[in-house]
Amino acid sequence: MTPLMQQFVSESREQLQGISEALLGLEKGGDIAEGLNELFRLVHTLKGSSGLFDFPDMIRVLHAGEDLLTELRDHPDLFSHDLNDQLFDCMDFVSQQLDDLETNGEPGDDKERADQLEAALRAMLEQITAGPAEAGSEPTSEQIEEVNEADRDAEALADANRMLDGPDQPEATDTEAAETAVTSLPDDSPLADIPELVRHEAVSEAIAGSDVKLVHYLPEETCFFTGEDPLFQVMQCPGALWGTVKTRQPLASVDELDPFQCQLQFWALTSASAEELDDHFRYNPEALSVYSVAPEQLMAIDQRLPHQPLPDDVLEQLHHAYASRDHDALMTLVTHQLEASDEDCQAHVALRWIRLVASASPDSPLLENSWQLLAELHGFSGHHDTEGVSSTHHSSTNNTLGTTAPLNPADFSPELNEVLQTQQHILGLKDDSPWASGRVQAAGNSLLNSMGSIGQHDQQAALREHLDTALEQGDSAPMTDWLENLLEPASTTETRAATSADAGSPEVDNTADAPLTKAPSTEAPSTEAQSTKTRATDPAQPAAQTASAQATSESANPAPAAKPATESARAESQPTSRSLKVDQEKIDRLMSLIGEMVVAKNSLPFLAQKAEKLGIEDQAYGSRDLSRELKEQYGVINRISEEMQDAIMQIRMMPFSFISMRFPRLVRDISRRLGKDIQLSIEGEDTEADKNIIESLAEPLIHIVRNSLDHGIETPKVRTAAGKPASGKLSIRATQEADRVLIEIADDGKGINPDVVKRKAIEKGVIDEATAERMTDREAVNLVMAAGFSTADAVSDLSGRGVGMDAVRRAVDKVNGTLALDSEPGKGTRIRIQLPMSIAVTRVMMIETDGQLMGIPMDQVLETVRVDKANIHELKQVKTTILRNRIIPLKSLNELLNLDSLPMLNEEGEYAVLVIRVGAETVGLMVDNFRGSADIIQKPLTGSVLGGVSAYSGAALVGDGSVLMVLNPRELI
Amino acid sequence: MAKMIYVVDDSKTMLMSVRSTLEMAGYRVETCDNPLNAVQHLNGNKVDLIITDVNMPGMNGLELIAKVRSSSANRFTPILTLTTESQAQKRDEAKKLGATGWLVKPVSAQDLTRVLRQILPGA
Repeated sequence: MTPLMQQFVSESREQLQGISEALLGLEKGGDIAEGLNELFRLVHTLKGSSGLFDFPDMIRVLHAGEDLLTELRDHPDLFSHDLNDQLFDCMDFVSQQLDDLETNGEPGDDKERADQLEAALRAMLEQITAGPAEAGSEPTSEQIEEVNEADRDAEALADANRMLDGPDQPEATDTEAAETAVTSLPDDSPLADIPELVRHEAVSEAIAGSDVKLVHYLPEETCFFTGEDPLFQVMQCPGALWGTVKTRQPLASVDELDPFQCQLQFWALTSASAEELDDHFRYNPEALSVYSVAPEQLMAIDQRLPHQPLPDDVLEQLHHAYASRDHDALMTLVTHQLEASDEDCQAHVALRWIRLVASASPDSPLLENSWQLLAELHGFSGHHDTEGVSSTHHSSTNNTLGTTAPLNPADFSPELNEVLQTQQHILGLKDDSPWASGRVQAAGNSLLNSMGSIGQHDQQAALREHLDTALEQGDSAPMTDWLENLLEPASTTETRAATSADAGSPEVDNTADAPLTKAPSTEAPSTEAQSTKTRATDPAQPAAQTASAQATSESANPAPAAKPATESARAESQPTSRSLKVDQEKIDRLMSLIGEMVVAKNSLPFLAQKAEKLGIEDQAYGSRDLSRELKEQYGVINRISEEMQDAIMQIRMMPFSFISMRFPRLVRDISRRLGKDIQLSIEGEDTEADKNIIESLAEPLIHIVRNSLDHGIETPKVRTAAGKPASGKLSIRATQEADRVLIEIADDGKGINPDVVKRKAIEKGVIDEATAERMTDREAVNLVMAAGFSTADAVSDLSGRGVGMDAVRRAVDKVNGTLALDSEPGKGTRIRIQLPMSIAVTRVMMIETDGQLMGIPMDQVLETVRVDKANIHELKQVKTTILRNRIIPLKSLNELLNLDSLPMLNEEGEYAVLVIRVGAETVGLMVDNFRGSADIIQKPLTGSVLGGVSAYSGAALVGDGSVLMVLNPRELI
Repeated sequence: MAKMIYVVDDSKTMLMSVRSTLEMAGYRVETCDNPLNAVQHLNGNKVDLIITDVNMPGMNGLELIAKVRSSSANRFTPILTLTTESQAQKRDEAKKLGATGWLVKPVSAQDLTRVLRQILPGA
């Protein structure tokens, strides 16, 4: 199993537990709507994570459950116990699948069961959706089947679609795409800005069959607050050939500009399909407009180029080749003509278009379009109709073709104007601060670069002079003069610039309907220039801006750094899970302890060195000192290891809830089946004990609870007749007493009849009649736990409890616990289980027998005594002695272990007797000698041979490396 | 340094799966299975991208988005919602609160890396 799967299993178990609790909660009443929400969330999450794997049955069932819950959430009033039963069944199925998954690495193949469950769930869903009125009418199984088939098909289809569409699955992709791709370009389209080379590429793409589109992306102004990066988004646009960024409206002055608002719009020319675009921009479809661009719209001539008509004879030849459709000749002529002159002119642009089309697709109607360009340049008309042919006129925006046109501020792009205005503002600042010259220098550099960017090299030179003067004089005046000179015409020439743009190209009227020619008018930038200028020179602004910036940073004050999330240790939720959830603190403690250990360990090599030197040179350093130091070091390591032991035990501690959380469901199911009404109360769920102990108790406890429900608590009818409340009580309580854990299970059922138990015990041969006579009722009741008492047929006969109580007792014994049973006929039964909190470390008494060292668990040792040989008597062939007026039976350990040697006497003629407690009995074990006590880590005996030896509970390593066998007196005697 | 992606989901299984996918694609990943802790962490630590589940106990993904957006550290960080719910309603709601986009569970490695390349500059 992969780690992911392990995680899935463990988490799913938790979720199932949560689901089960939620279901039980719903039955108990309370906030149904809230409960259903929680339930839905859990099932939903569970389904979600199972979707990571290929577990079709599980997913199907969960999906059906989720659908049902979705519906239920809207109609909480329709919730019923039957529904709950159904959901419980589903979760049991999923739980089973998880078990299979854990044991076999894949979920069980139980298609039938899954079908069944799914059908049942869908049927319930049908009932609900059919409306409460019809809820009573059960659909026939055939109908259910049909419905399910249909549902599943539809679902499968939807799923398949989802897969195909990718994560966003815009179902209406096709129609949307068709709608978004409109043909008429907006007035402000930057088509005219596209460099010729890009246009060539785009037209080539179009000829190759692509649909070229102009994408306009206008994100919301607040888009930064949704984590969007519109520029990146557009740059990543599939099939992009070209792109540009523009401001939406004239930018506000630096002082007023809100940098957290998106002031930009984006354009891109792309050959991607509408689907690709919709997919790419799927998170912000509202910001996207897509315009189809016909190739002929791209075939235009930059009017800024000089117009040098071709010689007539060349035109003649070209025309001839074109008219006769001699494409080869046309190509040769065009190429030749282009090579003939290096100087670029409008005619060359036309020729390049002709060449492009003629070489790529000479038969396309586009050839005519390209010819038309040339024709119009030379004042003769094209051969055929002229529609769709367009010419472009000069666009004033930031085109950087290397022209040396006269400098006209009205032609400045808004961005450039912005820069210039800002520099002017900076230069205009009057103060004598020490950095004034640096500021002038910086402004100068900005201006120099600005001029460079629009190819104004003359201005650059002039500016440089002004800058030098300004720096020499320590005054920015020369710079401001220059700048004013540059900008002065801006406010006055605006109208002229606009009109001249209109009047400048006579074709405007003819071609106004062609979308391409609707290039941004020159009015916009100049108006901007003016408005920005007024704003930029307002001296009050910087202060305001700083203030607002401060306000922003204050409000955005970052909260103190969060501490790393430490997850509180939560109850491990499934008894079979082999993983432990551990509080981070516990691990930290271990970590620091191991650090100490490493340091302590490092002292040992030094001591070894000292020991080595001891005999050679350092006579003064006695072996006594060395021994003392070693003991000191032992003390340190001992302390650390004790603490570590404690820390590790803490990690292994698990709460009682690990087992008890199963009970509500168990009690619910059994009581519903038996028709009994039972109130369960669980206390002390936080009580902790070692993982092994808690885990080994799960089964026995369930057994006890089941017995209690089955045999202990009566049906409501019987109870009422007996004068008891109709609903029975079962209480389970866990408490901690010193280093023991006490678990008490009590019911108010009919109790155990001691006479019946006695009779049964005699029948089974567990006791003889004489013993039965002497027995107290309490002893008799405890007979149910005797080995050999409980058998299957005892269940039906015996009115009290009986099944497998000896198994329960054995499980408790195994973890060194004790079990006591009290019962009062008619009143109820109480079982008390006492357990050690931990079994990891056992304290043993070491003894010697027949030359071997053995251990006996300390908690069973009552005392060690020396018994004089004379004080041992034989009573009915049993050796006994009297200890403080009590007769203690004596047993020789050698004899019990089938060793031949006799118990040894010491010099005073005394036997070493270890008095131990076995169950309720006190026994003296005759051994050879006592050897003190020790803490050991006991390992169980495993394997086919050793595992079957019951006389020993385990083995451990002692300090000198030898193996110590630990006796199990209970089995031994 | 590789981009840091912070993933919030109450399901550890989902976290594990998303983590391995992202790490395979070369991102640095931090995960958190408790939305409350996640908000606390994101208050003080800038990350490059946040992916969050929508259905979570304690605090749902929508609340988480609103909380993260209201503190400065990750005000402009892209946030993707990770959910099995494909209803447009949840997405719109999330978007209004400041989500950048969404992913639909179960997310394949392909989908995930494709989306990330689209919205994460320099990824």
